[in-house]
Amino acid sequence: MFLIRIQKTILISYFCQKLLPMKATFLLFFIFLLPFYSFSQHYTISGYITEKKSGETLIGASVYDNISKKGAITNTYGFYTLTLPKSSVQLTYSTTGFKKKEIAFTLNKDTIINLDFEDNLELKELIVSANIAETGVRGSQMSTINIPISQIKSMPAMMGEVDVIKALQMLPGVQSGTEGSSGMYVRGGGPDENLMLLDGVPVYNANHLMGFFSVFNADAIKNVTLYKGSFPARFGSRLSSVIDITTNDGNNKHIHGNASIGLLSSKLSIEGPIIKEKTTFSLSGRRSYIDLLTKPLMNSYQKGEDSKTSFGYYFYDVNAKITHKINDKHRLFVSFYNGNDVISTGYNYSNSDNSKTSMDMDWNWGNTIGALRWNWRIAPKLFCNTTLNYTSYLSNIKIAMDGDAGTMGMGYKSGIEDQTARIDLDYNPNVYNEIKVGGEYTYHTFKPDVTSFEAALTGFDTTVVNGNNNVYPHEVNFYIEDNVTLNKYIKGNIGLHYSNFYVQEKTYQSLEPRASVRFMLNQDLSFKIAYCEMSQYVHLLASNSISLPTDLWVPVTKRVEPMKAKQFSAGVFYKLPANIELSVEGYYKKMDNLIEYKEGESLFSENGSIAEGWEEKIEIGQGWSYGMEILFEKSVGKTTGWIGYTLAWANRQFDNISFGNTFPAKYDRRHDLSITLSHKFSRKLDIGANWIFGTGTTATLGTQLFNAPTNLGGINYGQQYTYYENRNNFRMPNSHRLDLSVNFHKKLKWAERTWNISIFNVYNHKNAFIIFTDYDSNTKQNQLKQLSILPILPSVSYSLKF
Amino acid sequence: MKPLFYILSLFISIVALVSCEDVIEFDEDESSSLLVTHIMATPDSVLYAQITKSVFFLDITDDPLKDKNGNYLGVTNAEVKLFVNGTFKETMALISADSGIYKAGYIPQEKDEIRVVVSSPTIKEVAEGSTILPQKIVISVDTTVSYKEEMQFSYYNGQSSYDTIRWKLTHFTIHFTDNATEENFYGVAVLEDDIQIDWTTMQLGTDSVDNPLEIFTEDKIIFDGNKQDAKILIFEDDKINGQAYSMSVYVKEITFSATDSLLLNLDPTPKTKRLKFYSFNKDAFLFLSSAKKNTASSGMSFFSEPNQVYTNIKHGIGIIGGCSVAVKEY
Repeated sequence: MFLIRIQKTILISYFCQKLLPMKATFLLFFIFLLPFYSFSQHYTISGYITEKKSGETLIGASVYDNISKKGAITNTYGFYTLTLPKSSVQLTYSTTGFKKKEIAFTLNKDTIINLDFEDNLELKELIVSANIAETGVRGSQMSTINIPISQIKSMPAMMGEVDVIKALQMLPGVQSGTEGSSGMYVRGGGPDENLMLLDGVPVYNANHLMGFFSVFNADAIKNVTLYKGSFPARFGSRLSSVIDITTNDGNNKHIHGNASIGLLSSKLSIEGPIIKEKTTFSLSGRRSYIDLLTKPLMNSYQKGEDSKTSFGYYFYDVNAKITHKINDKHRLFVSFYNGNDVISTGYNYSNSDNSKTSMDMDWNWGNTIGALRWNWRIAPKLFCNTTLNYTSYLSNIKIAMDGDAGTMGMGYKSGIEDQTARIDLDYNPNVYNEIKVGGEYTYHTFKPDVTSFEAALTGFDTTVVNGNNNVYPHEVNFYIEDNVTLNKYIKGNIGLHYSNFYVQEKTYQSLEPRASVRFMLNQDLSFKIAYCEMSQYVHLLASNSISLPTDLWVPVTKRVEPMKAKQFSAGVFYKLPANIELSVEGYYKKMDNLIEYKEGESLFSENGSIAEGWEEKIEIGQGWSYGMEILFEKSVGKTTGWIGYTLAWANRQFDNISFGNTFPAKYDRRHDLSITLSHKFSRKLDIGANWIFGTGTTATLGTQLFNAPTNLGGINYGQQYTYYENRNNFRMPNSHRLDLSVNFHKKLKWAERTWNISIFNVYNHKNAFIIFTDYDSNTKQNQLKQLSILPILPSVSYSLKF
Repeated sequence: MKPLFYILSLFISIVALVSCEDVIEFDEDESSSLLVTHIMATPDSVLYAQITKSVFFLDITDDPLKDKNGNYLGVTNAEVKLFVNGTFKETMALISADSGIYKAGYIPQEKDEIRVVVSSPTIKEVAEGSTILPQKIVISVDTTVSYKEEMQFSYYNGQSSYDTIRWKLTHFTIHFTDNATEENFYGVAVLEDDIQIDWTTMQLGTDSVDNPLEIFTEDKIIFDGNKQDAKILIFEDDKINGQAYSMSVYVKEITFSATDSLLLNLDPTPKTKRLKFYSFNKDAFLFLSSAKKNTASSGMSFFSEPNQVYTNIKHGIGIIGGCSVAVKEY
């Protein structure tokens, strides 16, 4: 029987190979092997694992049978399924930070077991069971890191603002751009090559304050996972990384909240049941208040003046979620996010002659996200998630001028909107296979910039609108993946992702194989290899220097083809004593159809547009990056943290840039070292420290000036030129800084209060933001200077958890 | 109307106000000058090389011809070794100290490979480069003359007015055949003898120089009908490969202007014009086209990508290029 099944599988694969590409055949071979395993009687244990105190589902919690040595972990919705032979079972349920549970019984039918976990504050050991974690030494996934949100919150933060992206920048293989920015450059890829998902919905611009903070409010977040390579097939559309962020569902037992006041912003989070243990809500908000200080100060300073200037800036985020448990099989989620940055400036002049002039500018930019999700446990082995979501990023500037001669107004708008329908199925037919299959359709609306000008002046009246038409591409993605356990040594995640993008009457499609395989060398040592292909159908037109709200997303076109990447990685993973994990990974990534602005080209066209004629301003080329990443990580116990080191190269080559020579990528950084440590002395006191070091990123600097002859060969040159050896020829100075924080907790009658004192850049090292030339009148010399904008920054915040 | 640019400039200014600065130091190796070598070799013509030194960008002075110590940038103690077709030919001789001009006794021929190795006791790096001279080019030219009147706004001696300007347009139609078997690069310039005006006495001087005129074209094939004007027009053969082609250019001269009649009366004699049609090799073309782009870069330099000027000099800067020239006088 077994041999017949194998023969059938081989025959099917042979015919598939004739009809289908190799990539698809390779995957189907594994799928059709499934029946091989299923000829004895099996039953399925399934259910949800939640936290007892809040009712929040737990992601990545494990259930392990000590008799059959098989296990499973919960998915993004806290759901698990484990198929075992009909026999006695001894189940251990466990996850980091919680007390484990053990259940023994005889399995003779499909069984639902839902469990609540209690906190284990005295936890000394990591007890996630063998062979089932997705990451770490025993996981099939490599280049994947899951950081507990509690660890992120314990890290020192700039101005006391805990930031998820800044925490990810501390990981090997992930680099920040300029000092303090939220840009992420993962394994030599650009900032637009990261797929940021908030509850499965893409976020197009994850920056506040020009990139100094991200839009993710840590109080609203439950889980953060970063994929730097070997992406599972369910993800697509970006080349370099996936940041998968899940928000809190809400406490289904009691109303709880968290309020904090800091120097930069204040936050309030509240969550609780609407119908106990059935319907919950979670609501979080954050607002900065620089404007509340600057406006009154400026008004007071300018009291009595004929002319007055005002300036205000603030940002806010609102996260909201409602979760409704219809019954054991059906759950509904509605989530919403809105965040904006707002700059408003004004100038007013009036005098005793009743002459008046005023100018007001309002600029706001931000994201709006909405999602409706339906979980359906169709059968013990089959789980379905259906999502309808909407995401948009819009930037809007208005300038209005009013004077004696009349009024004038200028405006600028740009943005992007997506509407998506998606279905994901998790099917676990047996303990050897965890199959995921799904698809999505997205209707994109790209709104390239539109500038407008209106004037109603004495003797002059006009309205001018310059802009580009909206573009409406369609995108379809399908995937199939299997987390397959071949034996106790070999486990793999094998998948195929198909994408199709239709724009300007042109169709692009891509078949992307994904594979990651783990070989256990012994109990604590594994070797992993992975290969993946990715495609990306959108570009971010941005200044090379800093993240700006005017950064514009554009789709590929008939002329500008999709970006592609192929990444190969391999690594060794070792579990040391005291719950320390060591990983050493190497990678090579090749990228094609990358874009860069042509030499001499500006981000802006003559009339100030970014989108206008962008295709003629860019060159298309290739890039490759390679490197090694080392990570020591300790995620349980009183002392947690990690040391991450990266040695990396990232290069680019464009036929018409630097005369076709290879040049380093903008954020090529050779060495990067990050150390982050948190220590909990007691329930009342914990401290955190970060230290980062990085060698300089690149800049293009011409250091020699030369004259061309006035007449050579009868040709008049007559010019002094700047000599650039190559693009990105100059290395910025090395950067490093130390951040410290301390938390003082105290239990009050009705709440727990925390004072957080943190110091960013403790020894005030001046890390370069940009470089420029300047003339020193004292020494009568020109100088090259670096501008640093983040000195030592102490901050204090007060929070209440109730 | 460039609202975005001004808004972003405002942001950058705010950042600058709250920031602090630090000087970046350079070591001696990074700041030392490089040899700048310029050679444009023409078959059957005397070979000249200009050897100067570069200036470290922080040592820039008001006079681009001099270094920070007031010395001319010409390198007078350079050893310029000339190799032709792999064989050492001679060491070029200095003939102009301030400008650093060296002259060879050897007259290069078409298809020669010219290589120079330049060294100087005062410059650390030894520069070298090579190029292959192109074949000679044969052209024929037809000329016609036309006149055009237009009104032009002028502001002179504190007074503004709209004046009638009359232009004399000299049209040149250049006939040539492109070689299909290789990449070719061309240039067109029109020069005239120009008697320099002594601006202190407002009288004509006695020196005559080759003055390149602004030339115009609206060629539909090579330049896609986009109007071009430059002192030298340069283009590739990608759109006319292997064809016998006729290209039209013209130059303009003012023949009448109400406000400028004083200046025109100084030199009423028609000047000899020389049309020069160049066939460049790739090195020369890349240098000229990149130098042109560098000059024409956008003013929004913070947001613009820098333009590199091409060089084929190793451990140095400059160009060793080759061109053949066909000249017609009118």
